[in-house]
Amino acid sequence: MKKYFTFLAFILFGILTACKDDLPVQPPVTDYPAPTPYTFPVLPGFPAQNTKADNPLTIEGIELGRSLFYDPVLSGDNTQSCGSCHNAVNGFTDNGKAFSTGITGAEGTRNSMPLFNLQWNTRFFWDGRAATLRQQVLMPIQDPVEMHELLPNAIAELSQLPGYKAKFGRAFGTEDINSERIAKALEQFIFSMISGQSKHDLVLRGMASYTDSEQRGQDIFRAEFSVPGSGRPAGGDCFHCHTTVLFTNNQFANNGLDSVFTDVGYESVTNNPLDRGKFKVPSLRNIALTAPYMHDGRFTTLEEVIDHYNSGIKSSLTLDPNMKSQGSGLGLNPLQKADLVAFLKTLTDTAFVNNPQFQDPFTP
Amino acid sequence: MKKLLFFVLLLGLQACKDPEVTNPGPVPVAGTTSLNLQLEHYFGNEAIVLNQFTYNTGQNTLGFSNIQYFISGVQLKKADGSWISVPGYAQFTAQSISSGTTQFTEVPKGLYEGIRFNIGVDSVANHTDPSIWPNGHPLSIMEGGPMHWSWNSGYIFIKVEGQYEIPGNPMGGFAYHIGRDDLLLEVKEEGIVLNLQENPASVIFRMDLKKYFNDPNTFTVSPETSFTHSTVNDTVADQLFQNMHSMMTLVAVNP
Repeated sequence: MKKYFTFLAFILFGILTACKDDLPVQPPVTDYPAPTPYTFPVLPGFPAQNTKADNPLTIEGIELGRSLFYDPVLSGDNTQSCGSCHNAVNGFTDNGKAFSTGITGAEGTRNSMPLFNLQWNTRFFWDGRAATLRQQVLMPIQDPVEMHELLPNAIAELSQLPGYKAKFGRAFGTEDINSERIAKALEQFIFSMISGQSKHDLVLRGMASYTDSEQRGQDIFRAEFSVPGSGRPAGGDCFHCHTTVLFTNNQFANNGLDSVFTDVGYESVTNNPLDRGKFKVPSLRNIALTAPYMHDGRFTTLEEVIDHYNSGIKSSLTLDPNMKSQGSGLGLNPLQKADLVAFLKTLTDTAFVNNPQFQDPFTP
Repeated sequence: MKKLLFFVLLLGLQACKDPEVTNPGPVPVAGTTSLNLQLEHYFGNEAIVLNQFTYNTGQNTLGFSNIQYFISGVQLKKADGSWISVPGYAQFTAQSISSGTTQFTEVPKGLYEGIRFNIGVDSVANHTDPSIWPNGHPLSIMEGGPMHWSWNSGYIFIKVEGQYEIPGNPMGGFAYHIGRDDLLLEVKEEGIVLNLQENPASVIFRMDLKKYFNDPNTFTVSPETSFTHSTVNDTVADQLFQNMHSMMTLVAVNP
C-alpha cells in the first residue's frame, strides 16, 4: 500500500509541475498598487483619445509628469524647468519672448511652441525633428542651449530628492528611475493637457454667441480667397491649413515669410530641398496668448500676422501652392482684418490655462 | 486502489488540456473574401516619380509633390446585372510611391462581371462630423483631417499638388483640390471576369495625370489657374473634373 501512495504522490507532483506553463500568467510583482486610470473629459467634435498603448494615462503618472515638468532639477544647474519656457498663462509658451534663454545664457533660434492637444499631433518641434512626444520631451533637457543636462545626472539627482522614488513607484509600480520613465511621465502629463473650452467651442455647443464682429471674422476665416473687386465675399483662406477642430492640419508649410531662408526648417530633417522654409502648421487655439508669432517670433501681434497674410507674402519655390494664387496677399480691408482678429480671440481657452491640474505644483 | 489510480490519471489528462482560446484574432466572415484594389499613377506611359519636374503636358513642364484621394462606394456587378456594395473607405496617398493597394474585405464570394467605385466620399459621409470615426479610419480627423474642409463642403476628394515651370521665373506651385458632392467621380468597368468565388482577387486601375491636364480640356497651369478649392462656378475645378473622367483606365484583373 505504501508503495501505491508513493507512486500516486509522484504522479500528482508530475501533473502539477508539467502543467505549469498552462497556469494563468501572474502579474509582475510590484512594490505599489496599480495606478488609477485617468478618465479623459469628453469634448464634442474632438477625435477619440490617442494616447499610447504602452503608456496608459493614470492619475499617478500624470502627477509625476507634472512634478517633472515644473522641477528645475532636470536642468544642468537646477535653475530651469520645462515650465520656465512653457508658461500656462501664455498658452504654455515663453512669456512673450521670441527666443528662450537657456541656463548658460545662450539664446535659442526658434519660438517656444504652445503645449496642448498634443496627443493628436504628429511630429514635434517647428522642424518636425522628433517623431513622437516621448522622444521630444528628453531633447530640451539635453540641449546645450536649453536645459543643458545629462540624463544620468538628472536621474541621479532625482534619486536623491525626497519623494521622487515613491512617485515613480506609484506611477510605474517600482521605484526605478530611468530616462524612459521620465519621458513616459512627461508624455502622460502633456497628453492630459486638452484645450477645448474656448468661446468658439461654447458657440458650437450652443452655450454662447459670437458678437457681430466675431461672426464676420469666422466667415472670413473659413471663406476662400477672392480677388479684391471680384464681387465675391472676402476670404482669409485660413481654414485650409488651420483645419478641423484642432485648427491645424499637422503638416509642414512655407507660408511666405521669406524668399531666402536663413532657417530651412523641415528640410533640415528630410534633406529634401522641396521642404525648404517649411515649418509646422501650429494650432490657432489660444493664439491670442502665445505671442510672438511664427517659428522665429518675428511678429509681435495678431494684427502683424494678418498684415503678413494680407500683403506681405514672399514668393519662393516652396511657397505653399494654396498661397500662390493670392499674389502678395489677401487684400482684406481694415474692418475685415479687425473682424478676423476678433474671431481668433474666441479661440482663447481661459479654463484650460487656469486649470489647477496644469499649474506648477511647487508654487504655493 | 486501481480506481484511485485511474482517477488521478484522468485528472492529469484533464488538467493538461489546452486552455480555452478567448482571443482567436480576426475571423473571416463566412462566405466572404477580399478584393485588392490597386491604383497606379502614371503620366502618359511613365510611372510618376514624385518631385521630379520633367513631365510635359504640352502646355507646361511640371512635377507632382502630392497625389492624394479617397476611394469609396465600391460595388461589384453580378451576372444578373445587379450591383452589390462592398463596405469600406480608403485613402490613397501617393507621397512616396507611384502606386498603392487597398484591401476591401467582406466581399461576398461570387463571380462578377463589373466593378465601380467613386473617387471621393459619398454625400452622407461627406457631411458627417469626422469626429465620429475612430482614429485610424480613413475619414477620421487624424487620418482625413488634412483632407477635410472643416466648415465648407466636407472632404477634399482628390488633391493634386506640385510645381510648374514658368519660363524666365521661379517655378510656381499648383494645388488642385476637388471636393464637392457634385464632383464625385464614378469609375466603372464592365465586361470583365472577376473571380471571387473562393480566393481574393486584384483589380488594377491606372490614373493618368497627362489626361488630367489634356482630355478633353487642354488645361494650362498659370498663376491665374494654379489652384482650385472647388467653389461653385470655379472653372478650374469644372475643367479638371471633366478631365478626371478620362484619366482612369483598367489595367488588369488578377487572377
